[in-house]
Amino acid sequence: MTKMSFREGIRAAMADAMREDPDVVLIGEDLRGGKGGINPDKSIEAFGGVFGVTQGLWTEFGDDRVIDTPITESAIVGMAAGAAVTGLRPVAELMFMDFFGVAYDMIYNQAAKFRYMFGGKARTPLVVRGIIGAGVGAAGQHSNSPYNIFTSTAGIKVVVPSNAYDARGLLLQSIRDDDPVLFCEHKTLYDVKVDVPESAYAIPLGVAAYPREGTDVTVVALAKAAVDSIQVADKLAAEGISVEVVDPRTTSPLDEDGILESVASTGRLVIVDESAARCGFAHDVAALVASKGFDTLKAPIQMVIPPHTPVPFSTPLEQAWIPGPEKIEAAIRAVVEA
Amino acid sequence: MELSELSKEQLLDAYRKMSEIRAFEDRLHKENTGGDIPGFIHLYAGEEAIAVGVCEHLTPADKIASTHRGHGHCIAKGSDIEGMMLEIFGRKEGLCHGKGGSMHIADLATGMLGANGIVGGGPPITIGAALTAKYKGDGNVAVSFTGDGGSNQGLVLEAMNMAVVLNLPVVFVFENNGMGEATGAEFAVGAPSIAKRAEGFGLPAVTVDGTDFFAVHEAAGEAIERARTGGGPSVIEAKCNRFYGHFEGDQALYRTPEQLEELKAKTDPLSIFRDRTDGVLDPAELALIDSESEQRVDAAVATARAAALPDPSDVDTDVYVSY
Amino acid sequence: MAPIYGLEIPKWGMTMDEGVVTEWLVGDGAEVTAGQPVVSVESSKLAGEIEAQGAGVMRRQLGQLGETYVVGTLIGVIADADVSDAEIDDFVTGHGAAAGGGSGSGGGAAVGAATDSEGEPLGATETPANTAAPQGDSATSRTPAPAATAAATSPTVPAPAEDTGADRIPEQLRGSDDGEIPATPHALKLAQEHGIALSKITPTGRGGRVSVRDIQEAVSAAGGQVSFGNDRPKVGRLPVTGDDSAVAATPIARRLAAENGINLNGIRPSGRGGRVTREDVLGHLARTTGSAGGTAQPVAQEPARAAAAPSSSESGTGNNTGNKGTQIPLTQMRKVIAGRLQESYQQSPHFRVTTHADIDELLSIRKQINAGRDDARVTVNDLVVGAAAQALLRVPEVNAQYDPAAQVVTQFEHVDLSVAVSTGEGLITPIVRNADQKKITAISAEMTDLATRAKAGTLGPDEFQGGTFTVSNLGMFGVSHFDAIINPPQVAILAVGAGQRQFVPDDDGAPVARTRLPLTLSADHRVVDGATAARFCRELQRILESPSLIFA
Repeated sequence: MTKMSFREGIRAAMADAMREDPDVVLIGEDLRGGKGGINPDKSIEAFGGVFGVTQGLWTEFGDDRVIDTPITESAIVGMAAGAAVTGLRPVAELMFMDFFGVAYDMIYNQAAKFRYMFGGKARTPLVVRGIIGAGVGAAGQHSNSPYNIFTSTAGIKVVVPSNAYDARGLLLQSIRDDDPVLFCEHKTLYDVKVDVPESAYAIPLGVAAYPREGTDVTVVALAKAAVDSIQVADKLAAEGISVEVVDPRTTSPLDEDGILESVASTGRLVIVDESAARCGFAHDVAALVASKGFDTLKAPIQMVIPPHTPVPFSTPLEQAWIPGPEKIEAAIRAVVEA
Repeated sequence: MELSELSKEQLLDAYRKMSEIRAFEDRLHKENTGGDIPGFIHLYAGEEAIAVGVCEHLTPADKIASTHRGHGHCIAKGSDIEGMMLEIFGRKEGLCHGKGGSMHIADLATGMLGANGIVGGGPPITIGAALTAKYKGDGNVAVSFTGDGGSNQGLVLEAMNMAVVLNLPVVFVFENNGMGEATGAEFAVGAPSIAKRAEGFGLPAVTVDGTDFFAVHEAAGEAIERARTGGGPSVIEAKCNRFYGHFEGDQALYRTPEQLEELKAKTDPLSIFRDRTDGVLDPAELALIDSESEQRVDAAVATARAAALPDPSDVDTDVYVSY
Repeated sequence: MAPIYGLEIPKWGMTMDEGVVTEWLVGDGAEVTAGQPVVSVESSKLAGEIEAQGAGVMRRQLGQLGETYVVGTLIGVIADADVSDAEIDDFVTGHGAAAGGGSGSGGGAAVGAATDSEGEPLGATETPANTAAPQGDSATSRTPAPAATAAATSPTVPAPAEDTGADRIPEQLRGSDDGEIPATPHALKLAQEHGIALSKITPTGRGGRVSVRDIQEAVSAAGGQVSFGNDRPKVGRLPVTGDDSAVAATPIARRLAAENGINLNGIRPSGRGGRVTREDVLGHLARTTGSAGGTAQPVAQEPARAAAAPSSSESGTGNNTGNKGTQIPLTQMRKVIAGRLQESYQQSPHFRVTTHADIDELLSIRKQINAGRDDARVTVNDLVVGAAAQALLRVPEVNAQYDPAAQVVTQFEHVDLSVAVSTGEGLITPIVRNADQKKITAISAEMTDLATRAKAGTLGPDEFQGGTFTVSNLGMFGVSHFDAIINPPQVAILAVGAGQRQFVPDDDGAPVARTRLPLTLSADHRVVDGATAARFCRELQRILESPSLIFA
């Protein structure tokens, strides 16, 4: 067991996968960085990923497997999809997940649909990594968390981890998985460290974690929202409010039992979600519980979600936008008193 | 000169494929008017020399990606026409079990990575297949077929740039039939030609007569050989005409019936092939091939009509490998 | 703080689920030394003594003489005299045992008792994992995580709390697990609280995970009931209302339902033509109120009680060379099986026809079905059942019953397919009604339900009597092939062995590996001829090898 940051956990999973399977390659912009630069030292990793996630991988695995590309998202994802369907196991990096907009055809119309359109004959073991999340002033085009959009797309799986332990195990599983997986990394978590085993391990997709067990209210939350919810749960525990935090970890497949059973045991539900004010992940969970667990509820479902706006830039505006700890606490209090 | 390099068997095989494509498409044109085929059909008649001229150089391990007008590419790459016909009729035993249809026929066993309903969708996938071949060092190549309409799509241009940057074993074939849906290439392609524009990406690009099997065959042979031997990507622009509308049901008001008759008379790849092989191949033998093609297509249609439809309970299978 | 030592009902073997406190060897309040035997306990097989783990005073004797407790139940507490009563109480409560008021008067978790007045299972007080974020994972959801899920790794099995008012856990589901069965966190907790063995629950979750619903359904199928969280007393079922006069039912069933205020819309019919029978109503009553009439107890449940402890004997069928035998009286169920099979084998001249089917395509279709539908767990047997039903439609001579007294053969329009299921007490053949008209996924779901309830002993007679043909599959045991005894009044039975990878010559004589399924039909030669049996086998083989025909 060793302390590992979220960044290190993700890097470790890619290294784990590349060591166990020679067909795993990384494709993206500035995974190494510095190609075509004028520095005469050609052994330098100029970037190692925009947040340093892939630092060191080019040095270990070389040009053939850590493939730096131009800034060309359609071709990155398309090439990765084509490579996946012909025998490689690529991990493509979109950098900021907001950029899916310029590459979405290759995810939505191609990789996701190959298997179905081709009558079950295709296998597309593709992972697309991308950075999500508000909180660092990155504003409208570098801050969104569009996992709700991917979740609604049949044919792809969606992983949204909240800590290094989950990230490492889920990413290795995602790379081993034979279906396309969108892997979402919340940028404010990259430096957060938790205990992680030293050797490789995989976590199955579609199994929720219960980072806190409690009896009064269930909080369903992903990524940064899960971390915030744990913090709020610990605070409220001192007041005698017992909060069960359910971190689904993957939105597709979704651990419906894990959510419904928790709600059935507590009778109250708060959902914290950074994806969207409309048709978001929170709405999906709310609909699940309303349709399959309605008579287990003691109070109306509370959703802690952003307003129906792009992510703003200036700190007070951005803080007003984020579904953070104060809002989570208020929602829990409201639902417990209801 | 190309002609003399091909054996009689190779010539007959090429003609058999072109003839089969023509018979298949002509028959679908008739069948479609009966209303028994769901969805959209785009026919390849008039462009046969391109698919066959290119695919004659390919092995089953080489990959191609196609367009919405994909039947010809499937047949040229070796797909079974009965499986295709079953699929187009939406039958359970079709190549894609009735889940893809005309626009998404794929046959991974023959290296056919799928027709594609997205104009310009093929090239990015093709460079992925080329990346696999390059990484594995198996000497295989990948070929994309795209139209003049697709040549203007951003992701096609991205794919060409990426192929040059990574020196991938890929050939981009642009089938310029002069019309993107109902809009002419004259209007829509801003560059002097698709090949001229492609040269700007830093790869060899040629324009050939896509109605002449031998012209296509020669250019494709050179480009594919370059890709196989590590020489990187190439572009072939092959000019041709399509003998039916954009899709079945298109009235084709962008040309007159007289103009169409003239195109058919002057630019039919099958007649041109017959003319070019005059004195080498026996016309009676070619006529026999034509009638055999029609019989095979007849049999495929009969099988498809009699075949079972998919079970509704199969609606949610084949989405994921596991979920 | 001075140590506190608990005394628990031990687990002396794989099959030990509970034990009886037979004697306290020391008095309440007595001084004991480490290693001193303090209490005697008996299981159904063994008797033994439990020793004090450390020195101290016998502070609590929770286990009552003669009472039966689930393995892991806290039955006593030893601690130094200076440990306060409050600390002892905390220990008892934390252990999940039902602590009584004063010293020594604890009730314990007596099996079958239902006395908790609070309604909240005490086992819920186990310490939640409160480390930062990581939750345990490897292959399943709850393999112990680094620094988390204390409950799963705790060396002591939390003692089951008393069942709340309406909760009743049938004996056959009781037990504890070694932590290897994947389950949702709440399912795990529920099983621990009630002393339910997860290994006895049929899982339906992703990756074979047991959910709370799975536990509730198994308990309900076995005639018990278990409530969960806020979801009591009903489990997400809509109340059944509305006019039920149009529901097909036997007159007796209708009257019985009316007397008990039951709406027929809510009852699962098992009778011919989908009619609700008297047994269905009684079964429904048993499941919903726990008050079943005597006849609602299915016969298959009898043997569980009749299977008394084996008695040792030196007489009877034992030999006289000193090798002692054990006499095991036949259960009621076993007697019935013995009589019927003997009658069948003596009276009907059996002959057998054997064939093989290549099932590679079938296996790939099965894989597709199961991969494509997360609710589907179709087995090869389900597909064989579906295929046999289709083959029987084509060869109706085999889909029949024979009445030797009247010398009449009845051929049936539809296939009511009996499927042999092995239960702890013996063989039973629940019936998939109208199997020829059902989708494979429906057959699969029905088989799961029937097999679950067969094992729980809650099938109604209509559910296992009156089939038109039987399939018996021992493939899961790897047998290469076998033949079976006809189940009268049926006229034939199909025996299915294990699919085996074999090389067979292709059209060109080259060896190709195929998976071949051995199929043996036993038929009653009084009414079925060899050619007919062969025709059936050929049809079945054809369908299995062109599995689209199953769905056609």
